[in-house]
Amino acid sequence: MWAKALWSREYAQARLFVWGVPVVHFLALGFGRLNQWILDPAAVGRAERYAGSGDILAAYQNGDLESFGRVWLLLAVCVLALVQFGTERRNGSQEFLFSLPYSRRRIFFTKWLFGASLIAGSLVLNTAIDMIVVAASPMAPLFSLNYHLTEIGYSAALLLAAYSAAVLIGTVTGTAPSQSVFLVLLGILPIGTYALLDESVRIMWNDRGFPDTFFYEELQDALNLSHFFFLQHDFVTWQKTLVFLLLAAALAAGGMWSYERNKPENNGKLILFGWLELVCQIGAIALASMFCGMIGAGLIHAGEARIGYAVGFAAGFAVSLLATSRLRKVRLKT
Amino acid sequence: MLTVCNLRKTIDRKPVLRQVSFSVGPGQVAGLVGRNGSGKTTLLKTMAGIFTPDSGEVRYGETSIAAHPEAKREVVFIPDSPEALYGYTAYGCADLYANIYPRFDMLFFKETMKRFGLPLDKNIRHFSKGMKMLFSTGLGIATRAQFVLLDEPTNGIDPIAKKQVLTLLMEAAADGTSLIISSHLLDELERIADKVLLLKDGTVETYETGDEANAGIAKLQVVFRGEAPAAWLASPEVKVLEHVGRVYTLLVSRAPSSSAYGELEAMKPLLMEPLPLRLEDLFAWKLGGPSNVG
Repeated sequence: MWAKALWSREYAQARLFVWGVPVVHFLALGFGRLNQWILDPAAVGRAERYAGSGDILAAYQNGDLESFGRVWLLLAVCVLALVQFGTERRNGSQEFLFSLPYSRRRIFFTKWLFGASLIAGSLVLNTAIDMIVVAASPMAPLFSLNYHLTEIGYSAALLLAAYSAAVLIGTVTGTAPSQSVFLVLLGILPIGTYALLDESVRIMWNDRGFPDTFFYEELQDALNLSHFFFLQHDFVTWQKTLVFLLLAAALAAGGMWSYERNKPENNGKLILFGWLELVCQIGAIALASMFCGMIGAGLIHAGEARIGYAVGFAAGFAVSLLATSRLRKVRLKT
Repeated sequence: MLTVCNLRKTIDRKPVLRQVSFSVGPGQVAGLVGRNGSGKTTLLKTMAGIFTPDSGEVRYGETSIAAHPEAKREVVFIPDSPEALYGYTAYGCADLYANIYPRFDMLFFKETMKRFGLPLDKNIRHFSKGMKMLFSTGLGIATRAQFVLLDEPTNGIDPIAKKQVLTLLMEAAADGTSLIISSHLLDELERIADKVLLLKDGTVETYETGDEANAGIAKLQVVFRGEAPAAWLASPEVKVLEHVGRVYTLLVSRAPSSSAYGELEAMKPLLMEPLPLRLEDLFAWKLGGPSNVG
């Protein structure tokens, strides 16, 4: 599967990331640790206190450096996916790649592997730097190899899943702007949809919304995707890591399936596949209707909230149907 | 042999290619002509594997290009703008291509760049339109692929650059490279093409250049006895190219099913002189006129 030309093409397209991502990651993680535990004059005293209490986690999690590192990497891989898939539709690069003597599967795999290598490379390099900094600092007695390995494994799996999702979106959208919008929506839609459904159920049916049970609490946690990036070490498990790895594999396979079926003549459309366009339209109308229903319930105080909700819902349905129908016809210049 | 077999392609529910079939042999030069929007670029992009056909296939020898993309080492597509290579220097592009095409001729490429005064170390984004097309054509030929597909290689460039591009193409053809050239420049195509692929209504008609009988039309200069026969001239089997005084330049169908030529002979005109049929005439006859051309 190795094709030097494809790798050099990816590098030429995203060389800024190859050098920039590890540096930004270092500023978030290794340099942060260096600041806290070597450069800060109070580090020695703080280290002694942590050592005395034997609280390894508290020492490591001071400043939540891993989480910030993950968030920076998340932003980087989302932009990378945008460059690799969205912008290349606009500048003729995709057509150029498709004209080369390589299968689309191979082109996709090279792209994905490039991003995955960047994530893995940055994590390995910066975890190594982090370990060296910890081992060379007053915090050395609290050094935990298990902590570093668990964190790097979890971060790698999580970021691979996020990158694969960004890539999948890149393979089904026909423009860089629509890829960006769907990327943002991916972050907020799961928990946003839950909130809309919860509120709709409360207004229309039972005045309580979804039950306050363990299941619904867990469901909310799972749908709140941002919390996985800020997960404390206590909650990081190898099971979660495995789930994210499987998710990454499934999303990457979906991306490959979609990329192989990409029609460059559809570039410029918001979504490349007609059936997916319809699914997204139905989803957008449903969400917009519920959202307007909630606004209606808040604005119209004529009797029950249901009346306001129904009015808002109907208005949202009509407006979103019109808007999405127009959006389906949009074709940006490529 | 590059064979296009029953190719169909629909874009935005509009059938652009319907049952397109033809073949181009080793060392042949084929001119692809058609009105604006007739699907020339779509055909070339489908042949290059950029677009996936709805049905049909493109074969290099016996190998299907869609099933075996590695066969595209012998089929290079040169678009009308090298936009995808912006960011590379000319040498950087050559280096990239050398990693893709195993027979890439770096010496030829460098000599071509030198011959036409194109800098190797300059980003091609900053090349003029003419320089870009010279560079692209040189790069495509340097791959030493058996077939080079060119989309309007002389479009929008000045006459000197146009002559240089055509020189490059003619030299490549003389060296045995097969070329499929989409262009509106019928005079140039006529000089270098062995065959003409005429794209109309999604289908391709193939004509060997110089084979007038195959075209099924005659080009004639005619002076009628007395009044010109208006009804006959308005017939769909007759096309008036020019009318100066009493002298008409006409295209007349010689298809077996057509009686126009016989009717003309029966009129015993004062002058009925055959003229050499040109590609432009064929274009006008088949595609309805010279508007939007060139």
